[in-house]
Amino acid sequence: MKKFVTKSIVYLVLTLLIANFLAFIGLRTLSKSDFFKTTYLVHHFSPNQAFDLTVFGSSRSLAAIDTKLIGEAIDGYSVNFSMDYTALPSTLLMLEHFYAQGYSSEWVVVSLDLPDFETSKTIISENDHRFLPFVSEDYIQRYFEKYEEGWVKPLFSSQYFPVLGYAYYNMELLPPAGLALIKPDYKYLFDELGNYQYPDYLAQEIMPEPRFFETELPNPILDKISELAQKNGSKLIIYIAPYLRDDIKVDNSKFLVINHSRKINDPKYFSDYIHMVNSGKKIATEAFIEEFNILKSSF
Amino acid sequence: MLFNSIEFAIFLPIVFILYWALRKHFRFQLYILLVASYIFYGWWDWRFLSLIIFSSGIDFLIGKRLGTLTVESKRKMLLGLSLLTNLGLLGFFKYYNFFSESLSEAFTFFGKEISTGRLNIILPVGISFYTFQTLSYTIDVYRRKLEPTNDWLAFFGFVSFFPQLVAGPIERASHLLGQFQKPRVFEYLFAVSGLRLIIWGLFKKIVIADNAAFMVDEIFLDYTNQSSLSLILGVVLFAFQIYGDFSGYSDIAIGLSRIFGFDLMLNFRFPYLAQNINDFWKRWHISLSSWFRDYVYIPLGGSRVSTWISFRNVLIVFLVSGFWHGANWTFIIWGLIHGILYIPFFFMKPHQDLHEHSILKNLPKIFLTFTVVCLGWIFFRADSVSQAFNYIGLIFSNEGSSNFIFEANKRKIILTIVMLCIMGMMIIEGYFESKQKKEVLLPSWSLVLIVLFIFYFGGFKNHESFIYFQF
Repeated sequence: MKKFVTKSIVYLVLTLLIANFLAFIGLRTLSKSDFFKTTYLVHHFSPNQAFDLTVFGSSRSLAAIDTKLIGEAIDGYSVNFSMDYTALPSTLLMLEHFYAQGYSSEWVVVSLDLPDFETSKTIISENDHRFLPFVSEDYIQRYFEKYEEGWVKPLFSSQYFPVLGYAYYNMELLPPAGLALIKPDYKYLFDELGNYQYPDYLAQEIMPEPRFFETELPNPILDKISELAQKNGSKLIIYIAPYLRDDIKVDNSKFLVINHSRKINDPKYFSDYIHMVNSGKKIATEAFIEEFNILKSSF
Repeated sequence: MLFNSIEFAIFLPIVFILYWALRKHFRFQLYILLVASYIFYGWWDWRFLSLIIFSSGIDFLIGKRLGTLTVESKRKMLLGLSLLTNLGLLGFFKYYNFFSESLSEAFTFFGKEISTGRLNIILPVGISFYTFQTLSYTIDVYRRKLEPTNDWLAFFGFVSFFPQLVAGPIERASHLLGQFQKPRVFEYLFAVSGLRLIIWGLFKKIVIADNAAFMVDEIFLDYTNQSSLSLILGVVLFAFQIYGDFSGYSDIAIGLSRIFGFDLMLNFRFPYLAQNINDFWKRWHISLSSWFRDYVYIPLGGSRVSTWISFRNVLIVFLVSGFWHGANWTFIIWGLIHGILYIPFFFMKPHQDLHEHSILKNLPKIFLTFTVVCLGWIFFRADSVSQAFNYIGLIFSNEGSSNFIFEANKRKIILTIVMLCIMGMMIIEGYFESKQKKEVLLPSWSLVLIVLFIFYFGGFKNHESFIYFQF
């Protein structure tokens, strides 16, 4: 009995040590690469990098904003740090992550989606595991602790046992770590300026009646974003990218808002109700630049 | 509580330590096991504990009474009461809606509309398993093959033994009950073999079954748009999903029992190495097929009757076995397919020992058997009989153009991992089969690798409950 328990414990400890060590190596490899937006943000730029305009948000801002066009138009350095399958809390985290590296940006554009106008759900977004290589950072631990459900919280617990988060998201992290080891500069679905060209599938659905929403944007996360931007000397713009059917009216908002929810509504520019195809992206970016220039001149 | 959950990883060491700390007081050990088993089951839904306690109580009392009665008619009545109670509960919870809907559909077919109310019934996990286990006790006592027990603690422990409570193996009282009635001694090698089986079972469940599950689910959900290749992959993956899931559970159950000093019966013996359907049923869910053999097939006359009656008996057993799996015509058709495929081999006298030739030489037979088993799995997995027929039709017509797996890099990676693991598992099973072993017992060093493999390739995010819990 004693021999059984002792040997079992020895094997268990040995296995856990190896597993945690491998997970640690895997996360470290990722953190030293450009693979995800979160690691690219840290690894790709020089310390204290200054940007002219940066974009933070979800897949909608990836599909609507081209920072190459913006950079050319404003004659400055513009990067899109938006990440698909994320919500506003992840956008705030990405912004914190950005400032934590000592970077600055004169203009910060936060793209806002319908589900986050009033409030945001306290759940982890599908791609939040991409922050795992930086789990030792306080702001990331706080985020995982708050948003992860259940009592195990594999992402949050990874600060002690990296294998927990790594095992839970193994298919999302292991192949990238392997690739990052061979090609540390490889960027997964984005280019040098953080842009991604979605495949041009046109919207197939019959266009329904437009839905109308009126909001003052009371989401408290927006206040936190605003506070953070202000603290770091950035001017914040809340951007609502075009929707195929949704008409959003922003009233009495305390934020600087570029609302393009109904700016473009031809189905040929959309791949579905919320995402634009590349031709739509070009028009949406040009419209953004036009309005941005007006805003900029008023400062 | 699931074997592959954090809760269980905490529960198990606590029970293990308490249990063996009381090794000199075997009655206390039984209390520990009983309480642990009820916690294990109640974790899912404590309300259904009353069903297990009720079933155990009824059969314990009936068993005792059967032991004292000599009048056959009274004994028969008591057996009838046990069957009525146990099968009545099973019938109500598992089959009520099926019968009421089938009745309504039958009336509609003949032009009459009747309204049979559908009840919102939750199926208690494992009810089919523990019902059959406790029934085997009463039937054996009735047949005077087993002495009734006066030890309620041992009997209740036998019915609710947590390692095999919810998905088997379906144990016989003649094999397991006695082990509850005598002190157990910790045997190092026996416990180590248990631990090895647990890890092997976890590998099959978490790496193979759980990774295959999400691809299978999506393919079956959107089967009308899938290409032939995708549909074939869907069914092959399901074959290994259900095998990894169910045999994985059995391995864990047997392994857990061993570390508590109990020996459970073998439930799977490398079924995908079977050379024909007859051979397959000697290797797949052995505890259920032998249960049906002993308590349905033999009482019906077995093979001691005319050829046609034997033929009928085999079909009945397969149909009942299909129906045991679930209240859906798909399971009945699945049973029927196996019954029809089984009959020719059943009446053929074996001319050769199936194990005398190497696996490589018999690969065509193994492949053919696997193919027909897969055909059956389509019915087993489909939501309806018409869906199963459509699925088969689409495999041959190749009308769909979607390839769920090949449309995303992540899925291709998971498919590659699952396929490599399936190949690895089959090679390992083939090796142990060629050594005339009945289970996979890997050396300790390789277990470290397998655990690492589970961590890095397991489907934790696609974490699925064990399929057989629903039966």
